[in-house]
Amino acid sequence: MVFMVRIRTSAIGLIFLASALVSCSHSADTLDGYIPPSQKNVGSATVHEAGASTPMSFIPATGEVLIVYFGYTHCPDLCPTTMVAVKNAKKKIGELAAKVDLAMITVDPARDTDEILSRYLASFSDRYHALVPTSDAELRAVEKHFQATSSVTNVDGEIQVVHGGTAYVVDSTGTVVVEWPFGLDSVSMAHDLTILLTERK
Amino acid sequence: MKTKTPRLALGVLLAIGLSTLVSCGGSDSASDTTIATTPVITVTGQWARTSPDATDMGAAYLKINSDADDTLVSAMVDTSVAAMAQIHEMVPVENGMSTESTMDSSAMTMQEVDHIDIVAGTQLELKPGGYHIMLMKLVKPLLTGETFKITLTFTKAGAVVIDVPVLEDAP
Repeated sequence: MVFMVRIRTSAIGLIFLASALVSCSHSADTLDGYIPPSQKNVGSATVHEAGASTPMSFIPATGEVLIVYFGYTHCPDLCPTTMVAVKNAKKKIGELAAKVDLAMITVDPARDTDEILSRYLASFSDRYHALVPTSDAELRAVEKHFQATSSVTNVDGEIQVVHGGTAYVVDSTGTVVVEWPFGLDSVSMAHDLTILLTERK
Repeated sequence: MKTKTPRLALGVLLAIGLSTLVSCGGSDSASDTTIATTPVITVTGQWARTSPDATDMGAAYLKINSDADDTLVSAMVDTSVAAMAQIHEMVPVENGMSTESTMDSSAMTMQEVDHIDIVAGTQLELKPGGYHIMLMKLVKPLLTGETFKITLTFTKAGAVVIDVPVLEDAP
C-alpha cells in the first residue's frame, strides 16, 4: 500500500508539473501507472466470453488498448471503484475513448454467470467483454499470464473472495504496457490512456 | 456471523434507548451531520455508491470526527434498504493463499470488523480500499440521487442517524 501511495503522489506531482509547464510534452512520456519489471505477454491467453462464439484473446485491435480486470460482481468496494474510475477516465479523453476496450474476468464463476457479468459491466461501459472461465484450470491459466491471484473459499456458508485490485492495460501486441494499482484515480488513468493512444500508437 | 447477533442486538437496544437523547440532532445537510451526543460526533462526506446492475451488494463511506475517544461498534440500515449492514475492511492477502505460485502483491480480501476505535481529534475515514459499510442483499438497487439512512452506533455516543446520498463516485 505504501508503494501505491508513492506512485500516486508522484503521479499527482507530475500532473501539477505538467500543468505548470503547459505545452511541454515531456511529462507525457511518463506513465502514472506501474510498468511491470518483466514483460508480460498475455496475447496467447484465452477465456470464455459471454455472448461470443469463440473465446476472447487479449489482443486489442491495432491502435487500441484493452483494460483487463479480475473481479466479481458481489464485490462492493474495489471492483465498482475501479470500474467507475475507468468510466470517468474515458469521459476525460474524448474521442480517444473509442479506442479503449474493457474486459473483466470473474474470479467467482460459480456465482457470476454470463448474463450476470454482462449486465454488471453494462452499468459501466457500452463496450465490454464479460469473461467467465468455464473451469478452474481456465481461470488459473489466464491468471498465470497476468501473474494475478485469486481464490474463493466458503467458510460456514460465508463466501470469501481474494483478488488483486490491479487493472492491466494491454496493447495490440498482447503486451501489458502498464498496470494500474487499486486507488489510481481517473485523472491518472486518462493521462496514461492519452499517452498510450497517441504518442505510442 | 455467529458473533454478529449479540452485537446487533446491543446496537438496536442502544439505538432505541438513546434515540431520545439524540432527537435534537439531525441535520438538514446530507453531507454534514453533527449530533448532540457526548462525545460530540460529526459525520461528513457520507455517500453510498450507485449499485451496478445484477448485484445486490452495496457500500457506503463516510468520515467521522469525535471530540473524545469513542468506538464505532455497528452500522445498521432499515430492512427496506438491505437485509444487513456490516463494517468491513479491505486487507492485503499473503501470496501464499493462491493455488498458483504467482506474484500478485495487490491481492486483497474483505473481512468484517468488530469495531473501529476513534481517537479524539483524529478523523476516521471509511473510503474505498479501506473501511466501508457493506450493504448486503439490497432490497432494490441504490440509484443515483436517492438518499437513505444509516444508524451508526458508538460505545459512548450511542446511536447517530445519518442521511446518506447515493452517488456514482466519491463526492
